[in-house]
Amino acid sequence: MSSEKNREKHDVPLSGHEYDGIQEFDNSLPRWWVNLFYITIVFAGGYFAYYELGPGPTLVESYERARAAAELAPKQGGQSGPDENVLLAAYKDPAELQFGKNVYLSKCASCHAPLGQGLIGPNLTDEHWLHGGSLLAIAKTIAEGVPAKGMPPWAPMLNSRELISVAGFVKSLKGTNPPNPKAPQGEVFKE
Amino acid sequence: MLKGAADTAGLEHFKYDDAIVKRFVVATVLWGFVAFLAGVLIATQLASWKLNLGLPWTSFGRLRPLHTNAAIFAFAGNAVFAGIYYSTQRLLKARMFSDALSKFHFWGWQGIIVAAAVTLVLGFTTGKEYAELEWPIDIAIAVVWVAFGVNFFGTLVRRRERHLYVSIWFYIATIVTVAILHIVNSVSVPVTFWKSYPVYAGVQDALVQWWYGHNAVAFFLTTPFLGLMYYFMPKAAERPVYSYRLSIIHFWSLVFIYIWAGPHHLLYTALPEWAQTLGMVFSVMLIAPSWGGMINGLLTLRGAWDRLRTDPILKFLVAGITFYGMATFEGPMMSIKSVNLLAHYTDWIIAHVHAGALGWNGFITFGMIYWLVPRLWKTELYSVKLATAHFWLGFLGIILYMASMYVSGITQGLMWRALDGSGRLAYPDFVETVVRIVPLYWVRMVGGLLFLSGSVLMIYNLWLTIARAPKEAKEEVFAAPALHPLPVPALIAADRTPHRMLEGLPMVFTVLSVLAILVGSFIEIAPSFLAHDYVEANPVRADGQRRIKPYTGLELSGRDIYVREGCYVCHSQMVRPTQAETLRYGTFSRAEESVYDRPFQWGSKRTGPDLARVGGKYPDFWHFRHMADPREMVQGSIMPAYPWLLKDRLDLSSLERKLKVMRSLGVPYSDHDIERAEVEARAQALEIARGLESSGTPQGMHEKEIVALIAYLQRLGRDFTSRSGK
Repeated sequence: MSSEKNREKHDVPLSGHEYDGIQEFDNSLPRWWVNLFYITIVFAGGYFAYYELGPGPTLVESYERARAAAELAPKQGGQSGPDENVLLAAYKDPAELQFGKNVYLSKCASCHAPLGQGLIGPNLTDEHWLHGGSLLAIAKTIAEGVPAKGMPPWAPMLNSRELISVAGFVKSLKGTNPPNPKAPQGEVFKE
Repeated sequence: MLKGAADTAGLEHFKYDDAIVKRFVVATVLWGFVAFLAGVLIATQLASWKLNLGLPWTSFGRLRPLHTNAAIFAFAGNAVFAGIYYSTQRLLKARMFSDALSKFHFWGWQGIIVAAAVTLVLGFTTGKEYAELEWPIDIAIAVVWVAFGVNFFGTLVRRRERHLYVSIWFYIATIVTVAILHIVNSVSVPVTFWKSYPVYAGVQDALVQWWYGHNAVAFFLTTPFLGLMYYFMPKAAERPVYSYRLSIIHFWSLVFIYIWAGPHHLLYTALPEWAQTLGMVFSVMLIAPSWGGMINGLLTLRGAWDRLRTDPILKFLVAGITFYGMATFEGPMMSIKSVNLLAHYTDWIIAHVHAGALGWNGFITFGMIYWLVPRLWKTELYSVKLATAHFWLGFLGIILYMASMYVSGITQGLMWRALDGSGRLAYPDFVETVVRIVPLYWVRMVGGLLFLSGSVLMIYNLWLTIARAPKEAKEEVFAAPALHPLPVPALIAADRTPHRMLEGLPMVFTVLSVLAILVGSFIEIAPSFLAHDYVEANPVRADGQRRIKPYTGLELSGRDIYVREGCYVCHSQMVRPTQAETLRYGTFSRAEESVYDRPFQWGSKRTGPDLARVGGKYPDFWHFRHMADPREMVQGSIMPAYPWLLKDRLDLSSLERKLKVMRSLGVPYSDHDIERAEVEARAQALEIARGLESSGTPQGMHEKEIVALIAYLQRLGRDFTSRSGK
């Protein structure tokens, strides 16, 4: 087409090209457009060669690497499992209990009912416990969940203050006698 | 039909069929209103769940496919047909091949649209996006499309213009490719009149579906509209097309490259990675071919830019082409894996498609209609001012729509992946990321409302235009010499370039177009049919069982309910291999997991969380209450309630047939499984219902649809869960 360059004046439409009154110029392809096309073709070939034929990592390999790196990285404020004294301190602090109540209402109430009387999950206000009624046991149950029964592990969802305070709040529900309690489940727990 | 009778000067006299164009124009305008209205309604449903009305027929999962089908096939489809019927006759100097076929095409298509509207609302759906219509309607579409094709190619044969103009090239590519896409993607085995299962399963279904889905965008919403642009832009601008050679290069590169790009809808999924990478790199190579069309459209206006100030038709066309340029730059960028990782499943995609649908398809259509109506009805447009107001309303609407959905999409994408200092999810509750974007859903609704009101102005304007048109306008008679076939040496002498020669050989042109789109299709799809190790096979465990087991009868019934309610329009079932996703949902999805999934339900959007690993995450009773009222379980949820699932009887009458069809497609059900399908399903339902009733639900739940859905949801991901593998 380069031999036709002298014909590329945009004020002279191509002869013989007229369709229902529509004429056509024959301007040359914009240089930047041609270059853009070449660049994308070179990129495409290079990318495919590197990742599919060459040493480029697969998506799963990239993921495994990122995961390994994340596991090695030092954790800030990581979950070392709440200790009994910390739990007890929160349990005795009205402000922390109030904080725990808010966590309870947003995360727990849909299954254990707003007053803890039980619904999908068991009643938290009676003396009966399926997985232990001590502060430590309650915190452990919340953190690890009981996946077989549909209680999710909450450790990935709650930060440590939330976990500690909500465990204390759950403990504090005992004996509150809300209306319409769910029938007791599990064993009687006595301090 | 008026046969061209030659007069003494060798001229044949003929009339164009404009009645058919008028019909398609009216249908475009009316269906456009329906599509935009449905869009505004479902946009509002996302902002306020109450508008789902608690009824099956009005819930988002059923109305969203109604909206997309109305926008694509009813609005854009009729617009394309109007433009093609008008321009083809004039570009070829021939009346359409058969008036009867034209009428059949028109009424057949409108019938299909009505059937689609009714069946989608009733929940008859294949669950494959943009191909939701069930098999009887699919057959009707194929028949009507072929009739259209015969009519079009018949006109080509009878043409009086030797060379085909660039618009016709695009129409040819459209007609043959859409036929291939539709037929290949729709192959399925019927169970009942309104239920079928696709012959493809899992990863293969995903690949075929997105080869179809992406190229529905390419060959239903792009190539025909480029054809329209090449006709109506120079007509409206009264200027020659900018560059003939650019037309050639960008046409062939576009149709060749576009067909490969489908897998960019499946990046980071269980699709084999080489196919994902092909999808990505071909998407990147699409920028220049797409922009070739934009350049040719915009530069055609050189020397007439001043008319943009006063002419609403040019405003629509130029803005439409500009939106096309934006969307076809953005698309390749979103196909780059790392960008896609952020954008996929979010509202960013919604912003992107509406730049195309509202900006490109909508505005080109409006420009075309404002140009066509006065000419078809032989009158003046009632009000240029109203048309200009329509433009600005639509423009502002699109800007609000896109801005809000960009912010929403990027917000959600960033929140999903955010990790805190200890490597945990910063927003572990999915609903936190939903509540944050609800205000943007309201902004989007306002944008949609503006676009809709613009179309109301158009209807009013066109109504008065047509009402004031002369009642009995005489059909114009045209004259042109008949086209006589030239011997090859004469052809070569007359046409200086091979392409010019090709433009005089419609059938060769068509064959080459088909070859251009078959190359990519074959290379990407054929391996999934031919290679046994295309995906990791379903492994056999130590106990001799397959790791992934077929669904039980009850689970399959539940899955069909999941498909019927359109759960897939808001929930994906595909955990991508990233740190944030495996933390949130569990180990990433493998191809073998969906080996029995017909249709695949990987989804494309996460208005709600992914469900690939939801099985066993919550108790049955949680799901029961959640379906009855999502907000009881998740504060701030925007999911519709599904109270009818608790009331409607579970229909197992076709279960045996369903299992038989599945077995014919290769699912290992035994004779025993099939004979006892209903009995076993009832037994499993009873077991689930007992558990529910002991938690305090009303009695009799074993007969309700909810137990089947719960059975399915509880099964999801269970065969694979090695939850420790997070």
